[in-house]
Amino acid sequence: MRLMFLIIFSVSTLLAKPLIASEEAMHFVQEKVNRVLDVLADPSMDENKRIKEFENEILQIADVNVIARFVLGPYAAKASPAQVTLFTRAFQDYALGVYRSELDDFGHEVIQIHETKERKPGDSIVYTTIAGGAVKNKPREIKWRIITINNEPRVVDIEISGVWISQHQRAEITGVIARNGGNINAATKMLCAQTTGCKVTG
Amino acid sequence: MDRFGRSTLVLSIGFFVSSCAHLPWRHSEGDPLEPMNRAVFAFNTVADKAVLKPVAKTYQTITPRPVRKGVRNFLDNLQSPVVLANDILQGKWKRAAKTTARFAINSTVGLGGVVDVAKGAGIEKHYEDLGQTLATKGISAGPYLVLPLFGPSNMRDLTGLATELTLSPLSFTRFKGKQTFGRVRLALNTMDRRVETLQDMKLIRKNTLDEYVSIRSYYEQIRKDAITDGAIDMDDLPDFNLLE
Repeated sequence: MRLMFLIIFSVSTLLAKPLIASEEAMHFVQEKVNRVLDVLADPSMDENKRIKEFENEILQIADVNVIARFVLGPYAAKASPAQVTLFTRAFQDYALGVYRSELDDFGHEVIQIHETKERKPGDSIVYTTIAGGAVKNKPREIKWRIITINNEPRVVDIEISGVWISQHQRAEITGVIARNGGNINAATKMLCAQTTGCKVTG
Repeated sequence: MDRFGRSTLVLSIGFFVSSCAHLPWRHSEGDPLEPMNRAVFAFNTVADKAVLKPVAKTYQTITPRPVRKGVRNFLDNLQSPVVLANDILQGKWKRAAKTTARFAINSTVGLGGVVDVAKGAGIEKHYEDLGQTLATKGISAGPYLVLPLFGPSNMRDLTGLATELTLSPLSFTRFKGKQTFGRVRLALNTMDRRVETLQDMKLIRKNTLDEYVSIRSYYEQIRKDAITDGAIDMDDLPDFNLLE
């Protein structure tokens, strides 16, 4: 009887785990995106504070280290840790700079969570729609790739209108590195050149 | 250009492309013709900045939005038989029924397709083409291509486009002013598509590290999305390496 109980318990735990992970991913997206939208729409903040808060939130949602290694593709394994660190800093500054330049257009949108699908344990896709605000006339379907990293859910990719952003950035970055004879520093410099106030030096 | 001329042109491009595929150029994965593609891309960029973009902007300025919408609806309605054929070839019967209903409603009540009455009735527009159909039959994309003036494509999509042009119902009909009609249709289509992408292209050019690679990446992902009708193939998603 005890053995039967143990088997049932183990099986139910195993079955329940992915569901919990998927639900966690869904709640994570709902909570974090709402928090970002709140920051953007908060009239009490001046622009500098709003940008700082926004960037803090983004860095809590996305795992920049994992994304940076992903966009380096096969070159990540060939680079020295120092090169990867420099690239990651430049990549983070560049990505935040791109978001920063578009901030004024957003803030009054509403996110609606539809469902979540698990790719494998700790790796889920959350299906959402963003409506209102800047996309008032054309609600956008957005899919979030959530991976559990150190027991915490983190966004590693977003799909908008059929384009996965991290995959797209990987194509661009590896393209730049390939055209520069496999030199990662070339991509770091290029990212830095496109970022206002970049302090990364290779 | 007549059907024979178009077929010859496409075959020539196909031959040139397959000959070039063996040349020892350095290229990115999936883009063995990158040097040639980059040259065509550079030509297209110059042509776009000098002619297409200014013309599209002028068209956008002088044509009220409802008129442009009517033109888009009309052009989309003309394309419906092609969409329907591909719905059927892909065995998507519900979508085929929708395309048929849309074509019937819009061609009659919708004043020859100018007004999208079907959309108001809840029958949404969708696109299918032969390139997508070939993909659903397991034909691989082949090398990435940049076509002069047409822009990004690949061997599969070029084959699909060439076949559609050759077998288009318009190719088999005879009427006065057919050539003029074909030219006006092509010009309007090109201009309207460019107006649609004015904002997107501005953003791409502003944020890109390499415009050529950026457009190639967008094209490949958007086509993949169109082939699966937006469904995600979980096995196709890349893994993220979590190891430090």
